Amino acid sequence: MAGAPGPVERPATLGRGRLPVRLFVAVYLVFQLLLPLPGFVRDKLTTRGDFSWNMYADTYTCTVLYTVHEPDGRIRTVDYAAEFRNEVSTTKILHRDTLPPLHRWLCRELPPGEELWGLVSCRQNDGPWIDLVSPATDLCSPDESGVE
Amino acid sequence: MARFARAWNGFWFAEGPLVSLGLFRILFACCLLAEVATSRARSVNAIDDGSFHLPYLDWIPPVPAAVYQLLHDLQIPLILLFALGLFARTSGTALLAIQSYLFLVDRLNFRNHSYLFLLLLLLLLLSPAAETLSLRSWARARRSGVGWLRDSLALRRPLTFQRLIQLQVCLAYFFAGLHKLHPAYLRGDVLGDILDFPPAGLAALAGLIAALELWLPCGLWMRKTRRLSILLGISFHLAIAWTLSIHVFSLAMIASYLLFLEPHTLPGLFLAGRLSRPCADRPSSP
Repeated sequence: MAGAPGPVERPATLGRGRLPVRLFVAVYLVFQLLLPLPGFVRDKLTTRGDFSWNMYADTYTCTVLYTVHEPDGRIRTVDYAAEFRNEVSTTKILHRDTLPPLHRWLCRELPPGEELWGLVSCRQNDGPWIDLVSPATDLCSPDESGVE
Repeated sequence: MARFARAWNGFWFAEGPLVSLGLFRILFACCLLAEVATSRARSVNAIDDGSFHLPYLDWIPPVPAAVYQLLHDLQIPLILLFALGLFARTSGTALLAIQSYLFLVDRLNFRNHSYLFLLLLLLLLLSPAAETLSLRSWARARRSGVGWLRDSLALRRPLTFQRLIQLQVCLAYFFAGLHKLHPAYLRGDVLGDILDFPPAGLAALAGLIAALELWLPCGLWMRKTRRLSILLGISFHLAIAWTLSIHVFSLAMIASYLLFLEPHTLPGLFLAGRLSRPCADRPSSP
């Protein structure tokens, strides 16, 4: 057994580690303790809670309908799912903090006079259904994010 | 205060054998290898195809489909080098860069376990994990004329990054358990949606899972409860792999338990296995 490691850990030289390593440990710990917090203090309707280790802890259900209202009164439905590359992405976006960029994207090629309206209703677990977007509001107007 | 500082330094900067970390590096690399196919199928928001993008940082652009495939193909040799501990710093850094890009290029690519893998890869890269059970250690042992296994088992380094990996695993458990402490989960509603399980047992199962996730961050550290905690954790992850088909994440979490073993456990097992092998020049017992 000569040369085999003994069962007892002994302190490193000086027992404190080098300054960069100590700094790294401190910064890493602070980050990893703070990063999950927004996912706890805000509900899932507001944010998906990335970085908070929310794994299979909630059910989150949404219904989505976006329509384009043309100046002559005609209404056409936006093929919502077609805007995304996979089905998972269609639900990942349905939170208050990520809807404004989606609205800007959907508005990008609408000609002047056309309006984008949305009905996005979600519920977390057994909570009530909540509208995340103001109904009957043009989501493309510059002063209107449309997100409630 | 001095006592606290001594305990703190003893925890973070103690030296110990690296063999657990080296073995974890190899197993984690196997997980990364298995994960390439999943990433290829699911990180598609990195592709610049005119569809909607939601980057974490605006200056990170999506890439053409061919480059996307190349980024995944490139990972395979890099992971192999990392597993073998050959040019581990370079291959690990390149791997971390590719995986960080695929992660940060679009918020829709976010998955908890790719995030965890990214953190573990970063910590492994900064650790001395490649110094043991690696081609590098094999070459070193050859030069010094010591047996490879003996050299790997004898090597001692500060365990700082091993401690960080352990803590990271525990933080993931702890926050995951904390998220589950609400009535809808504890009633079994959430599990009812994802598991084919008798409704009468869902609430009990939900309570067990939340309790286990909150327990493991304590139980894995304490000597008295470590063995039981590891057994419970392995059972838990095997059940997840079986029922939800989450295999790679489960394997990585089980592999991380190696880091919680007492410093002498793995070297002891290796040496016991070596000594118990039939050997021609060993005297047979009467």
